[in-house]
Amino acid sequence: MTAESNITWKANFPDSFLWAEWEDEEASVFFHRGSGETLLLNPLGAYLLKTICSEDISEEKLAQRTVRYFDLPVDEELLSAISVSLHTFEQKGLLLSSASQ
Amino acid sequence: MKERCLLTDTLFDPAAAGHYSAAEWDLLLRQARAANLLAQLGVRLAQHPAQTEIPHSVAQHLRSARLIVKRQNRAIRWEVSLLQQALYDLAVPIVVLKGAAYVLAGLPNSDGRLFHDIDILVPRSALKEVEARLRRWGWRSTHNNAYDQRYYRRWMHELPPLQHIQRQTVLDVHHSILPLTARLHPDPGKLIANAVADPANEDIYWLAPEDMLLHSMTHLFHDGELENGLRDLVDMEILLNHFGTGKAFWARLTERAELLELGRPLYYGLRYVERVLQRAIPAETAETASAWGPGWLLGRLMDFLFLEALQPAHTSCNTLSTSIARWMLYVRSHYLRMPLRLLIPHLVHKAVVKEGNGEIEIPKGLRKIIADADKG
Amino acid sequence: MKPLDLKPGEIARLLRSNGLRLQIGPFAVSLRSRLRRVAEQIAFFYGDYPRIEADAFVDFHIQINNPAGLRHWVRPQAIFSFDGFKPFKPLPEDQAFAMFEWGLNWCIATTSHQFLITHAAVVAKNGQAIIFPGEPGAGKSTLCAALVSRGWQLLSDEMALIDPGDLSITPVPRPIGLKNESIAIMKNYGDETLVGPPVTDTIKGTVAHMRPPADSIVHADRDTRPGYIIFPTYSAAADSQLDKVEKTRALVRIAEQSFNYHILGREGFRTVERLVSRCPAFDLRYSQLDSAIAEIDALL
Repeated sequence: MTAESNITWKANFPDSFLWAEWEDEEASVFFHRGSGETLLLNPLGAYLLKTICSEDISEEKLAQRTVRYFDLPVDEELLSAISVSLHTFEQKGLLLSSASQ
Repeated sequence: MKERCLLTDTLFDPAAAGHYSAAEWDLLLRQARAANLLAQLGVRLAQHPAQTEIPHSVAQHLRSARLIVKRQNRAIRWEVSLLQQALYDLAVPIVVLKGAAYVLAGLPNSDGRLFHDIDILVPRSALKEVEARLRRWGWRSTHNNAYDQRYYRRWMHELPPLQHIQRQTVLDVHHSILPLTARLHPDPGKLIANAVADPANEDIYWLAPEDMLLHSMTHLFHDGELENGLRDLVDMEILLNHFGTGKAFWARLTERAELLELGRPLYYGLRYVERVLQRAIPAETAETASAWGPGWLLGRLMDFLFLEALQPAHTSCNTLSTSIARWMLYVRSHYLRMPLRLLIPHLVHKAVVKEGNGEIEIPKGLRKIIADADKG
Repeated sequence: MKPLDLKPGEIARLLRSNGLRLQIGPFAVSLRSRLRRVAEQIAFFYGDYPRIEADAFVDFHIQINNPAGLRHWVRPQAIFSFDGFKPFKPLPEDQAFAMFEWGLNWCIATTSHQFLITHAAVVAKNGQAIIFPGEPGAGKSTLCAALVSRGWQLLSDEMALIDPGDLSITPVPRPIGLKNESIAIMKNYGDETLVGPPVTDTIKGTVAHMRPPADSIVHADRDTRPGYIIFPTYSAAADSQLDKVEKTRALVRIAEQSFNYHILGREGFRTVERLVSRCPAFDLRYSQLDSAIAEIDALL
């Protein structure tokens, strides 16, 4: 795996994370009360944010769980999609990262 | 014609609102909005619910104003978390000042207070690194012309304001609480050494209670932005009520004023909190502070100017002398900040650049005089 | 409440002196202006609105006058003031009435957080309201003006005032803003005498306003339940067609079009969530007003 194993992700104000979802629709809507941001998320993005919201987690462990959850083969494309999503969320101030050697 | 200032009357005695007519509510809300105290008025009235039945439309405006404050305060806590993340590796103390500090410290004045910028104080030795780090995290200078950059860097107590490129938040990074050129020289090192650590955020601090008040007073009485003067005075009153429950606080307040050389602002602060908002000051403290007061003649002049200028910035409270008082105090604050040889060119530059921007409004009465003088 | 029922001369006099006091939807407005152009257009557009007592509480104290300074003698300008606060730069004086409309929008959107306020036109029929969120260039105002010309009730042209509690919509009927080609279209399609004089060279191009039907003003005190959300898109030569929009997408699009959604925070988010749960949402592509209206009629 090439996920950055020494980064730990945590939710910035987890009590600010709100969700709207409907059974017959695949996407989720996410609202962050701190930033005021509303995002339409695909299932991968929603899974990542929800997982991190429930506990701080290393990127490596998060990638392993994601692979299992969606029952997908591990490949570069998926790992880089995860990494890009996480950094986008960080840029928006929704997640905080810290190096944990 | 000057009407009576309903706002200060109501802040002092919220129960009086119980028998206000629709026209009085109308005037009260207009004054409160102009003074940036609408949400604060809502807080006060809510604390005395039994006596006051608030008309429906009035209640909607008060509730709306409080919702904005609530939203602002949530956003501020979030913004500070990002600031902390940006500066984390530097491991320097970040002392949050003014509005944002009231929010983080959960002080009672934060429920009803709107503000624009986040102000922080950092050790001067860390300033370069802090600025570079903030740049990397998306903060950019808003004052890009060479004059402003030079002015701030040579003479001021802060960097030119920074704005975040995505979030648009404005951040003022201070290394002192008064300009380098000012008459008073409170040592920022003493403020930082005495600061209170935020239990929830590493590296984040706010000023100790006494210093917080002294800073607020210094800002109001040596800064000259009097449009929000009444709001700032209300801050002081609430903080004095909140902290001033025991004798120890009042003793520390005068001790710190002495140590930081901020006796004069303390004198003014206590005097006008008492005169305008009718908040009694313990006799011992008032006596100590009176030694820092101005002479008789200057004192009379300052009373005239401040009692005018601390009215709500609404037409019902403002006469020509209010505008003149604000203008004179604005000039005075610059005079206090820098030697005269710097002041005159700066004021001229500001007047030329900012005219029409609404930043310094030359009062209408004065403008007439100036226009007439031009013709002559 | 009594209708205004004043002669234009009396309206002008009130505007010049203590202020003309009007009830506009849920808002009490006091307007002062020395400008003749403002007086004429206020008499034309607001002549049927209810008046309020001189000593009543007023939500918005507004003034439209010439700004101070010598510039006035070169090229007359008008400036908007909300009780002494001037949020906008002055505009050429011939835009003074449009400036009142824009300024009042600003007052409502920045102070009335008892509602979730969404940028949308709202019309109603048989007690059901349809919300038309206004993405840029969508032609919501044209469609709204057309529906109103065909007997629908106007609740609002610019902003849906949605109650976060029961999702009902409070009417705030005001003149409908028409831009560029829409002006000629509506003069042909509806009652030409209801359209005011066009003003050229505004930031929005040429604008004119259309007077709301008297019925809509009379019924402005009745809140209405929302039934549908329709995102209109004008598209030359398109056959009118309604396409279902997913709830998640509708939520995000309405959130984007709302002025105070972020101020309401959780309440704003949950309000839009409940709104899209209750009201089916559609994209409407249209080029012909009649066939677009037929599609909308068929929903009810």
